[in-house]
Amino acid sequence: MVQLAFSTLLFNIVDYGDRTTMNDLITAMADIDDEQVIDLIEKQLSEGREPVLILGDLKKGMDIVGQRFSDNEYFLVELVMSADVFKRAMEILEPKLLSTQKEGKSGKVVIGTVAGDVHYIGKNLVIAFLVSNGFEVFDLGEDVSPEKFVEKLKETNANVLALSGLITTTHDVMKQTIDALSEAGIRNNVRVMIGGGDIDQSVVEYTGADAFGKDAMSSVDIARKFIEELS
Amino acid sequence: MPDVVVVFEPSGLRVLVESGTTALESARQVGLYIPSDCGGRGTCGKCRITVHPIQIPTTYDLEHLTTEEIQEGIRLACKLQLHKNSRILLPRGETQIKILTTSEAKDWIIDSGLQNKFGIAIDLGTTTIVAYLLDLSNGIQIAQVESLNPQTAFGEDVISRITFASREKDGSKILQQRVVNELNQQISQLLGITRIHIDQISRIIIVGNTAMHHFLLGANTDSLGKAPYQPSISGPVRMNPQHLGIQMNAYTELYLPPNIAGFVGGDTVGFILSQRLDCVNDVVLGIDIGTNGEIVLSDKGKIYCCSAAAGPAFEGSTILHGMRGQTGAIEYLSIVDKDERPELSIIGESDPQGICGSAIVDIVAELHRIGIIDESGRMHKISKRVREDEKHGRSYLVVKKDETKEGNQIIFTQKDVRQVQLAKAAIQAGFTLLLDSIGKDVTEIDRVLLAGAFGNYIRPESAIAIGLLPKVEISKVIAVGNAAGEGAKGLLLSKKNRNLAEAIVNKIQYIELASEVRFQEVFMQSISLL
Repeated sequence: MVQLAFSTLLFNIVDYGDRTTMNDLITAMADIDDEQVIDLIEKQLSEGREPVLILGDLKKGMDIVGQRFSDNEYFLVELVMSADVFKRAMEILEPKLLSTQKEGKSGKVVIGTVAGDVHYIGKNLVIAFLVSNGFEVFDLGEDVSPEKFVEKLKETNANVLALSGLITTTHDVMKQTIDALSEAGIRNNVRVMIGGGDIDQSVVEYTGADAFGKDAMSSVDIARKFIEELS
Repeated sequence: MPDVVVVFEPSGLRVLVESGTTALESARQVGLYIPSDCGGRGTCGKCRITVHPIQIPTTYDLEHLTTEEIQEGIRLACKLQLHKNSRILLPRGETQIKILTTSEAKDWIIDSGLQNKFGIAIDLGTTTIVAYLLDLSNGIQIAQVESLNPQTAFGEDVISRITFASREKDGSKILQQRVVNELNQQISQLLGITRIHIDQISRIIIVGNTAMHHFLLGANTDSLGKAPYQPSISGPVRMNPQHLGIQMNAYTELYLPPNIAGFVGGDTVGFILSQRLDCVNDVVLGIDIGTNGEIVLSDKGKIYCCSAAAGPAFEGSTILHGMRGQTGAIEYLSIVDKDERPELSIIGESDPQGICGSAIVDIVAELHRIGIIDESGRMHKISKRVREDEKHGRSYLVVKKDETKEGNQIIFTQKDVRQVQLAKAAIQAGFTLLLDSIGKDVTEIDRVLLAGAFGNYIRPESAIAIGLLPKVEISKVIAVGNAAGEGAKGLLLSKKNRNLAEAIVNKIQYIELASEVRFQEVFMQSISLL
């Protein structure tokens, strides 16, 4: 088993675009060893390592987590745990980052579970992966009305909207929410992605959205593509 | 054509079956329970019954029974094929874990003054509809028919039908018409079999989950599909069946018990009533595992309940080679050697076509037991039967091509394992949170009652191993068969039972899992296969 995990790890590194060399922090994050991650961050900060470099390692670790999920090695539990560890790590790291290094460089995303639905596990995972990839995310929570989405989009000038809904009955609510953007006259400035249970291209067409995410990690690529299209 | 009459003693329940049906299968059809550890393979020797007229013993009988027993007419129910009208005496005493209709039906209070009157109790399920015709003067069931719910054409599960009802023009009207037509067919079948005249039917009871109840009444189901998932009709319904298009006399009374919540309906009321969970003096957990599982916890008569969205994995729907429990389905599976072909039991002893719910639970339990899947659910290549499938990724070979006549290959994929983990986690999180809410621990459960077909067929030890059932001693797990149908019969036979059901519902404490603060935490913990 140890050998297997190790070879998967090697595979991931080799496969990883910029051929990152692993270090302890990346490994700990990828293995979701929460104590080790926090200890290493504190140790490196006290040794004077640049916070932004530490953040970079965490992101690389999160990318490996996402890859392992795609490879079926990790499952929901590991994703949720990794999101939790990353959040805790950011709580330590965030105050130490220079304002120019803070999240938001990649773009702004407004997210929420649509009205009539109270599920949040999937949505919270999407948030974790967006944040770890440098997006500034405004989470409106669950059971969010179309008006609230419109309001937040206007207030933040975000041009990416992510809608979550678990059961098929929420597809109609997603459609209503997207219609509300048109009525408010902001549909052209906003790209919409949807996610949840039972969602495929036909639901994208039904609701009038622009894309769907098949899992939490894919939201990152979609958001990047959206931002690119709009700039 | 079913033309063999089988009468079960001491209950007097009778059923019409096709020639060649086994005694075990016939008993299952009327909801009677005969213990059968091996699942009907003729290997455990536990399903002993007495048959009249006496039949020639099978090789299985000769292996498991004494000469004396064979002379008395004792046979193994699983291998006893019935070709002529027979009477079957079920065992008494300790081996008789639960014979639903006998023990319970005798307890039902029966209204007096109903000589020569008959009634129909209907269990309106999402997938199947079962209708029972009873003699109201003595409570005896005379006939039973079963068919598929025709609404299935508009979606297998409740949510897709709710979506259909809200999106399509006349959607809810179409759903209503379909089900009413089916009920009319069943009623005329029952009358045909029994030669009872429509004028003699004085009562009809229908129990079903809240969505089935609403579709039947043509009620608005929008609120069922949205948080906080409220029914639009909660209270009991008494009406003239003609108003729904049910072909009955206007004086026949139709009664539907109250709903508990949006995803806990009259079928659960029937379950609670049939087991009298309102007046037990121990801690009882009742579970009906389905696409939407209902979980009831009775703490010495104080009842708590919740619903758990398990999804259709246990019905085979989201499993690559999953199928319903019909001919050709692998029903049970054990792994003896991790590299060799697993031992299978197949319904109808045909070539294996797929895997049904009970075997799906077995596979995950067995793969975990021998270490092919770890606690997180990850499948490891430590067996010759685990390989990377080109299309479906890492998979366990349940049946290789050269192991069957027809050359079917059946695999169980990593993704299938994940589906089972999600489904069982929903149920596990449900009972864990219910127990938490009254400050009780799993060890304090005295009995676990399993309702419904799935509960009847799963191996409790496998279900416990994967965490689908709480980790209790196996002897505490009792399958109670079609408890909803049994409750419907109780409601049919007595108005006191109806009042009782209504009083019970008023006192039930419903817990909405989706809004429980600890849900995510408990659900995540429940995904693992500890």
